[in-house]
Amino acid sequence: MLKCIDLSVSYGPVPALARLNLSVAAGEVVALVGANGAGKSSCLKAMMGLVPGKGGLELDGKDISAATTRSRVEAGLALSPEGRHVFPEMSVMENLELGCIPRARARYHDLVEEMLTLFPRLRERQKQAAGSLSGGEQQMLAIGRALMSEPKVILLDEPTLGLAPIIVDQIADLINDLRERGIAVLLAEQNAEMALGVADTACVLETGMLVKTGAAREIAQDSSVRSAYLGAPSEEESA
Amino acid sequence: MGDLVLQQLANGLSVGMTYALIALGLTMVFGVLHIVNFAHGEFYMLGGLVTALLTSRAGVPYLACLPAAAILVAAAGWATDRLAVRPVIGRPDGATIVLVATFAAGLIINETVLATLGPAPIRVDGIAGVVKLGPVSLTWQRIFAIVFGILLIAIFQIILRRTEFGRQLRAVAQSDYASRVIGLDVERIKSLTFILAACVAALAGALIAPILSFNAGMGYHTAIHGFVVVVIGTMGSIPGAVICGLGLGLLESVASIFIGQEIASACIYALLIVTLLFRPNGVFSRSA
Ligand SMILES: Nc1ncnc2c1ncn2[C@@H]1O[C@H](COP(=O)(O)OP(=O)(O)OP(=O)(O)O)[C@@H](O)[C@H]1O
Ligand SMILES: [Mg+2]
Repeated sequence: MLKCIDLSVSYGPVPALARLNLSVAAGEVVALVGANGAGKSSCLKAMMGLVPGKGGLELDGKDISAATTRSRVEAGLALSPEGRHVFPEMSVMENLELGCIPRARARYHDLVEEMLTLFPRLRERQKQAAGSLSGGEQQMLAIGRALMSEPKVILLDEPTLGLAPIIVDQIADLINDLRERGIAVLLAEQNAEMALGVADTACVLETGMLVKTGAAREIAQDSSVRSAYLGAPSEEESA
Repeated sequence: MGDLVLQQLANGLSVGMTYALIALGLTMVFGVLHIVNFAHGEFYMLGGLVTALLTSRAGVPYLACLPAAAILVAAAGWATDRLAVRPVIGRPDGATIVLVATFAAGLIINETVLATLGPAPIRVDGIAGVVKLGPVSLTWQRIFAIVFGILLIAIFQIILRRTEFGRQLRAVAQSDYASRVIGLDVERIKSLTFILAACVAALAGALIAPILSFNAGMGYHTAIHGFVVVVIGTMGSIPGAVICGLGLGLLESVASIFIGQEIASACIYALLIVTLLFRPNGVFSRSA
């Protein structure tokens, strides 16, 4: 569904992301894990066309590496950005409305209903200004706004940052739900435990380089990953 | 004396309306593009110019000049945006360079008009006739300026609140980055905002020209008042721009009975300084 070929990002002399190759299939959840500054956000932003990137990017077999963000969204790519970035002075409804691009316009009412069912807390707060929502509610709104464009691929950047464990679980459930609908999910997370728990495939980034990739369950067992990101030795070692 | 005050209040309302319209454009450009447009006053002057030339030299009826002024000045706004705003706005010091670039654009417009037409005022025939309301007599032109101004502000609110473009404009004003994330064409929305503001300024110029006559310096004077209004009324706030614009027109007009036009203007700048001292973000900011 989404495939990047030798995707690189640099903001100056130092590359933030170096020749990354990865692909996400429909109904697949790929976790992108790595420490602060590993290049996760740079990767997602470059995929959206928000920062200049080098290399190829294909969506559904079509090359979109030269497309504007606008046409990438029209083509079926959506991002829930790190830090949520909802429109603070607009209501929940208006935020959702803004996410609804021309391609999805005809299904606007169904989509809103779907989002309010998916996020019951937003239904209760339809008229409330987004800036006055709690962190968890804002995160749900950011994801809902991205889903309003009916994406084929959704990029989630740190959706659990700063959220209580119970909300983290809800977001994991939501990601499973997206997978069942056949949406491709690329999840950038520092919370490796959550990310590896929910993902099918995982990619480990270190200073802009892909150092490990494979089935999420196997990566979760990898001793170096466990000590670096999960704060525990692997089960085999401790056994 | 009381009658004189009433009369000046009535006059002040029409002048205040032009301040409100000028400030509306300035505050919108500031809110959406995050720049201060120093050429804004010249769009107002150009609106007056189009009206003056069309009525006095081509015999076009006044009311037909209003859409002409809006359209022609929209083109000037488009060119200014293309040449003086867009090329510099993305640079690291963009917001500062834009000040100089728009100031230069304003000077070019102003000097060109001055060089071609000279500084002499041109009388503009607007809507003829006078209405007497008790002790106050108002020209139909002044009444028209007030009513048309209210209409413009109302249309503006409808665009902002009810249309898709308005929603997108507010989105860009609130977060440039989030607007890009959801795939809005941020550059286009910014350009349209700039052009729309130029149109409103042009209409303000076309409304005031029959009242105060056209002269090439009119933009400069009014733009400074516009800036005062925008700062006192909180940069980016539309109600602030409208209310303070009207308030300033009324205040200036009534004060001029007692202390003369120049000192009245000086008092207004004093008011600006006082506002900056006590409410640095303006009277309409949420937090002081
Ligand atoms: N706009 C920018 N200008 C310059 N350098 C940047 C910019 N954005 C990111 N970087 C640098 O690029 C590198 C990768 O940053 P990035 O935000 O992609 O990391 P990340 O993996 O998302 O980190 P985090 O987990 O903290 O969000 C970092 O070294 C960062 O300092
Ligand atoms: Mg990040």
